[in-house]
Amino acid sequence: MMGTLCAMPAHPFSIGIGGGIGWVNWNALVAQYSDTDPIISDEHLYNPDDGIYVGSPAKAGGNTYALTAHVAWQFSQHMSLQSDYFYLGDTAVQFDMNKMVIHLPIPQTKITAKNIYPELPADGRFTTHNDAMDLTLKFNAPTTLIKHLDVFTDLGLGVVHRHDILAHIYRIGGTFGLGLNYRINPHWSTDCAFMYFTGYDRSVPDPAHYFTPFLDSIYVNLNYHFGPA
Amino acid sequence: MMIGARYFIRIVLTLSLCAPVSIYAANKNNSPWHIGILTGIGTTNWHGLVKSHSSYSFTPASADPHIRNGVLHSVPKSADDTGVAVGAYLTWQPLPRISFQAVYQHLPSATIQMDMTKLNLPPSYYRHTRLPKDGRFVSQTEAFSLSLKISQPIAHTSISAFGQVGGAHLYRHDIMAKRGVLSALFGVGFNMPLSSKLDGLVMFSYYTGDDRATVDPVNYYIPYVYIVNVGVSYHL
Repeated sequence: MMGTLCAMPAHPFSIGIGGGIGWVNWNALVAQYSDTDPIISDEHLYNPDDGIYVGSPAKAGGNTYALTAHVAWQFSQHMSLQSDYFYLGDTAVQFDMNKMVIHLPIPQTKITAKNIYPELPADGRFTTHNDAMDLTLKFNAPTTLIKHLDVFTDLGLGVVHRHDILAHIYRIGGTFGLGLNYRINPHWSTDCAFMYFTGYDRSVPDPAHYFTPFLDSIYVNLNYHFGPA
Repeated sequence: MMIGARYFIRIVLTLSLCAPVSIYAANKNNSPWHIGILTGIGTTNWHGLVKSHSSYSFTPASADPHIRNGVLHSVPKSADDTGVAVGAYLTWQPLPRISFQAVYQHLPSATIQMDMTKLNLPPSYYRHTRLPKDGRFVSQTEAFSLSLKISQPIAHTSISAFGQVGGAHLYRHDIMAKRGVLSALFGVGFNMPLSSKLDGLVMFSYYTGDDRATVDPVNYYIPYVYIVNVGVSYHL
């Protein structure tokens, strides 16, 4: 028992690449009608709920592909430090340019998304790019169900990068993961894992200038472990 | 010199990160079930919904102060969301490094202050019909979670570090809303035996919440929770 616990890993350094499905989650910013109370019409001029579309997109984000690469240092039998890079495919953001706010004290004042975001094209649509990096502490444990199969959790700090016509943002947040690792032989292993990066939102008239999406990914990695045969 | 340094690092790491005796081995006669109570300090992060400042310049039409202040019609102007949590937990450790933990926590109360001076329209227009006249209300959140914990003994002590991932049900209840969501829970912490029957726990946890872009987001918000807990459990 002691021998197992205290043995340093024979192959502590590893690199890996992989790919999978990514989800660029803009749900917190996508405009929605409220169903709290019956919709109240403002003298039939417009639906007050439409006002949310002026600052928030009608559709945004969604599923895309994810490419990953990592370097890891396993400093004990069951813990390692790992840095991952995730590249996610571009996703679309669509504003509804027809929705407007008509301000009651000044009824002739009509505000559309174009007033809030002058950078928007006429059709209100643009693509947004995201990638992310992290540094995590990884805990792994043998499952005992299948030989050479470990379960692991990842916890650490991540940086999410958003780049599009409205914003160019790097945002630090938490990153968390859960997965399975299968050791094929002393030099090669494969992971199947889920990774989550926290995002950011701000209560301002123009939240799309500040929003950082929450990123999720399910991916498969192939890892090479350096060391003697 | 390089080889010496490499062996020195290896020895230090081996001594500091590999426990000679695991907690499981030390307590192998105990039941795998523990029951405990916990408390903690954390935030429900309502301040994330509070009106913030935008540094972008607006076109003349939207620079109208009524529009700039419009966001205050629907979101709080301040929130006091940090406080004390209390709860209980049940742990099942079927394997030396793997355990499952169910936790209930009554999370810190949050005091939310809406800006009633900005409500120059009937409150019903903004769906905040249940707001008191002073625009102030207290929100409570309960968390029920089930998580997988993977632990690693540390140094020559019987302390072990762990990472945990799981699912949670967050339930918010106040005068504005009573609603719950399924969310994710992530955490990291330490377990330590206090006696042959008692274990101590220190952990940091993060619960994902829910936010919605509506004209009345206060009615839909479910807190994103960051919390540091300490607890003590008894081996059944």
